[in-house]
Amino acid sequence: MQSANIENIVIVGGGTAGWMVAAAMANRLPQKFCRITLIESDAIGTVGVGESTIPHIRQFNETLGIDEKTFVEKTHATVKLGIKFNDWAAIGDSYFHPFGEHGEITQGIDFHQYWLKARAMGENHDLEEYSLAAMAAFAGKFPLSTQNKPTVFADYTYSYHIDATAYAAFLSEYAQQRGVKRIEGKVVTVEQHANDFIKSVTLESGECISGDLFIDCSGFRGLLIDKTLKTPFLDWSHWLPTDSAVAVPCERTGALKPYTQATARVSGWQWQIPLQHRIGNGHVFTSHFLDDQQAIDILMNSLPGKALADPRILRFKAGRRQYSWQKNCVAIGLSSGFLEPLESTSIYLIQLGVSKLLELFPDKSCHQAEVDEYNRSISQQYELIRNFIILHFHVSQRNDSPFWEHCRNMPIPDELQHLLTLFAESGRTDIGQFGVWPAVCVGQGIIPKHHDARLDAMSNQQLAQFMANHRQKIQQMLSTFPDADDYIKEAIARGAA
Amino acid sequence: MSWSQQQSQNNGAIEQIVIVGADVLGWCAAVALARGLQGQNVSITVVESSHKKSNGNGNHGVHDNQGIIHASAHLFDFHQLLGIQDKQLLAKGQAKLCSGSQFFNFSQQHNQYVVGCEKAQPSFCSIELHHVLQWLGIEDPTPYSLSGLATEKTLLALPTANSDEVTAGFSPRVNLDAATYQRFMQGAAIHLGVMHQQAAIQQIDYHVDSGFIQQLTLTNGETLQVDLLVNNSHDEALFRPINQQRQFKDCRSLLAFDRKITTVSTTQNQAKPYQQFHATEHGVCELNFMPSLHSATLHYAAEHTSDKQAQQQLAALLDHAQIDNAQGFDVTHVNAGYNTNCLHKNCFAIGDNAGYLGTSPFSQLILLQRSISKLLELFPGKACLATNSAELNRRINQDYQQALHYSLLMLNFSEQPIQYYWQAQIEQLPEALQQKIRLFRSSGRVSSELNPLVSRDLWITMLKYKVRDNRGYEPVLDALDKQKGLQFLQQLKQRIAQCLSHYRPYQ
Ligand SMILES: Cc1cc2nc3c(=O)[nH]c(=O)nc-3n(C[C@H](O)[C@H](O)[C@H](O)COP(=O)(O)OP(=O)(O)OC[C@H]3O[C@@H](n4cnc5c(N)ncnc54)[C@H](O)[C@@H]3O)c2cc1C
Repeated sequence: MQSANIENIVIVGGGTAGWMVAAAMANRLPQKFCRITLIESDAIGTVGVGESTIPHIRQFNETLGIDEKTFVEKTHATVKLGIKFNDWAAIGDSYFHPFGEHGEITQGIDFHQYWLKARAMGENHDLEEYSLAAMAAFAGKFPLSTQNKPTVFADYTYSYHIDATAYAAFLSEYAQQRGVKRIEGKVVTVEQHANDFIKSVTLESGECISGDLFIDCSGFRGLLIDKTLKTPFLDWSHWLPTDSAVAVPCERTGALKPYTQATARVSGWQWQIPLQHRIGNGHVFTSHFLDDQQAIDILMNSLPGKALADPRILRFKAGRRQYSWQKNCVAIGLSSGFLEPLESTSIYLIQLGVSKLLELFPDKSCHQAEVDEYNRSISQQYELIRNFIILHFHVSQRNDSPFWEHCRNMPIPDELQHLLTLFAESGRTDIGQFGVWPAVCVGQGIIPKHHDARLDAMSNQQLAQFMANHRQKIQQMLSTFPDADDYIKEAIARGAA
Repeated sequence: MSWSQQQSQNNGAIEQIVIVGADVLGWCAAVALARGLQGQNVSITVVESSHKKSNGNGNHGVHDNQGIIHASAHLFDFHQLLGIQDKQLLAKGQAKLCSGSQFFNFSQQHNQYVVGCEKAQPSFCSIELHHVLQWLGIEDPTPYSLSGLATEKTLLALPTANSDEVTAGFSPRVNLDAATYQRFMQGAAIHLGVMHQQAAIQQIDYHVDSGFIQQLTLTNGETLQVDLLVNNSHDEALFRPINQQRQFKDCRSLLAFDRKITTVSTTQNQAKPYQQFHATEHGVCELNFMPSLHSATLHYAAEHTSDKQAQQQLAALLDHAQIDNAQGFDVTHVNAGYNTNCLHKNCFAIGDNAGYLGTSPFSQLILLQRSISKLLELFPGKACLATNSAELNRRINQDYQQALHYSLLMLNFSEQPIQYYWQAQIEQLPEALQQKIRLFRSSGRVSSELNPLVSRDLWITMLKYKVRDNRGYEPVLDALDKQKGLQFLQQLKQRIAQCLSHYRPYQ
């Protein structure tokens, strides 16, 4: 028989991580099984950024039974078809990293191999001209996924830009309706059992809250996983050198661009994330190469609309906890690690953290086998994403600043080296990886030396026809898609009817 | 920055593929390549391997094509890819479905058990069946396994494609008559334009600089140009210059058996819907039963068992199983392990040349089929670019590693104090497998991987029987009503009984 079941779960922190965890747990764990308490401190507040997401969030909402209308309305969301990268390979260049592959896989050969051969033949259409998502994004359109499903480009998918604070508030309501108890207050001390398991946390008010399982969602503070359990932090700043950001919202101008923009800057890069009512902006930089004022100036001088607040500085360090789960404490969110926000992966990692935890839900003794499995799978995901992000910085021809010199010349992880060489040599990718590698690699200027030799059997004329058909199909489909703005309006209206 | 220093090489399309070794694996490879490369300007030739017997270093002797090949359900995936109709094969009795495996004497506590071939089993409040059984304190999972029961009762269990979880929830394996299957594949290959040279190799020319195989001269005087060579040869010496450069992952410390003794018997006895494994002091014996053809193999270690003892042991088992008419005994020397670079230069090793992992549901046939699919995914050009080959080898290795781990779990792992020298306790197993067992033991959980050889369901099915001292189950069950759980099981049993009543006898 197993040891006693968990009766009390305590979540410390009420940012996006805390409330996503609370909502997912409340949805999955029956109330009579255990009590869930979440502690958050208004005085401390949340990090308040994190607006761009990847498609997995739709699955999260679906599991929780949250429909698109409610979600879009509550979080002021817009749709996101990918990320447009400006000035990364070189100043003046741009490319699009779509959700979903380009073209169709034909005869077991990836589409970008056809593109490579066509390019060698002298065609000069960009790879993204064969991405439904990219072309719709540039046209400000939204590829409807229900009616009119673009079956020939079947793995196309999408995500959202959201007001993360509003999302947390919405999930807070959701969780509390399902029995989660919210306590406002600041945790000042943490008590442990003799075996170092966490026993309780005590608030400024003197109130003591004990639990069997603690979820550390206290953000960069890492109140439990770090301050209490002293779990080592694996520092990855030698690969991901940015350590600061300045963020500011501005007024929205013009029609909706259904994508995130990431523009490389002299010592970092800048994001632009359109919501329904504003645009989120931020400049991520390396304090070693740029001081705060310079960073602020770069941001404020390039806002697409009038600033709606004062710029706010944030500090961070890239890396992860060696163990996200230690004893009876699981760190989820910024407390478990942080990678560059470049590919908008933090919320996804939160989602992964809580779903893995539910999959491996422990009893009071937190057996090592579950803990090991959890840590193994979380660290694997962190590393996949880390490598993919490093790729963006490392593979650039920019040499206009010490920052880019550093990025181009830094040693990179062996696994990434292998994957880059593989792509550079033959355009081959590993489907187990995170992200659409051909889009980013080609976008950053790696044109594979060889295309799939099997395409030699195709005549130039056949290939030209094949490529033209693809472009034409996309154009035809585009004409049937609604504007991205209208899609959002309709989504809200649809539910209300 | 080596990723940006790629030299352009002449990497034109491969036009000449030669497969050495015209046995069942060779012909399967030929069909898969011919299919996968349809529309390409490529010629595929199968040549005979030389017929020299192995000198004890290789893994050869009686070959699969003289007996029965037992294959996991992966075979059907492969057939689908090739457009092969399974019905044809099954209707003619050249392939017989198998719904389970019987194990004898592997555990002192459970000296006989049947493992079915479940995939998704019905769940209770979205919690998997094996958790529910554990929760309700039910130790024996067999009464809830349709395939397992059908196996025990010698019924023909046919999975249905409808949404009924019970009847759709298993994927049978298959016994193939190797000789017929080979003829079938050969026919298909010839139909697809594959050429057959009924001559062996006399001389191999290597490219001076690259060391690639360039040309073969055959005993009939013909020469063949080679862009890609698929080495399925049974003659270890033949490609030694290239084989010596391969890295071999030696698994002998895990799989102690270095011999196998095999016999086939033509018999009046009928086919059976299961494979049998017997644990003996001399090693593991595997029995397969096709209509009028039964086969038996004992895997043993020369250090502990002489060939004569092995033969006696096998004869005793045959006797016990009432199989007579054994057609002689054939001893083969084997080396457990696999090459970590199956594609080396322009030579792709398959079958025994790629590796040998003793007996498991992932026969050489299944491993070959998966390897060829991976080869097609990363199909090289003439230059066989190094990183591409490295990636291919890495993917193939994952399969071999999983096949090894699964075999170790199925046959070698023992929870109890070990009874036979070849059994292993958890500490002696590879770390990743240990973690799998520990996780299952702790709470009945199994993690999932991407496109694995061994699916999560397969792991669960085997772990249920092998790890009986598991202590845990999904804790959320404790919030549910046990009465309802029992009712669910009762209903499940009834549905299974109903299904069983519709099944015909296996014959
Ligand atoms: C510059 C930047 C840009 C980002 N962009 C993106 C993006 O585009 N997409 C994306 O997915 N992610 C992004 N992220 C990450 C994202 O912001 C976070 O993953 C997400 O907000 C979750 O944060 P959190 O809940 O872990 O921490 P926080 O939001 O910091 O929440 C911490 C919580 O803990 C509470 N707390 C702390 N200490 C105590 C205490 N002693 N007592 C009581 N309560 C306490 C706080 O009150 C707060 O409620 C970005 C991050 C940064 C820094």
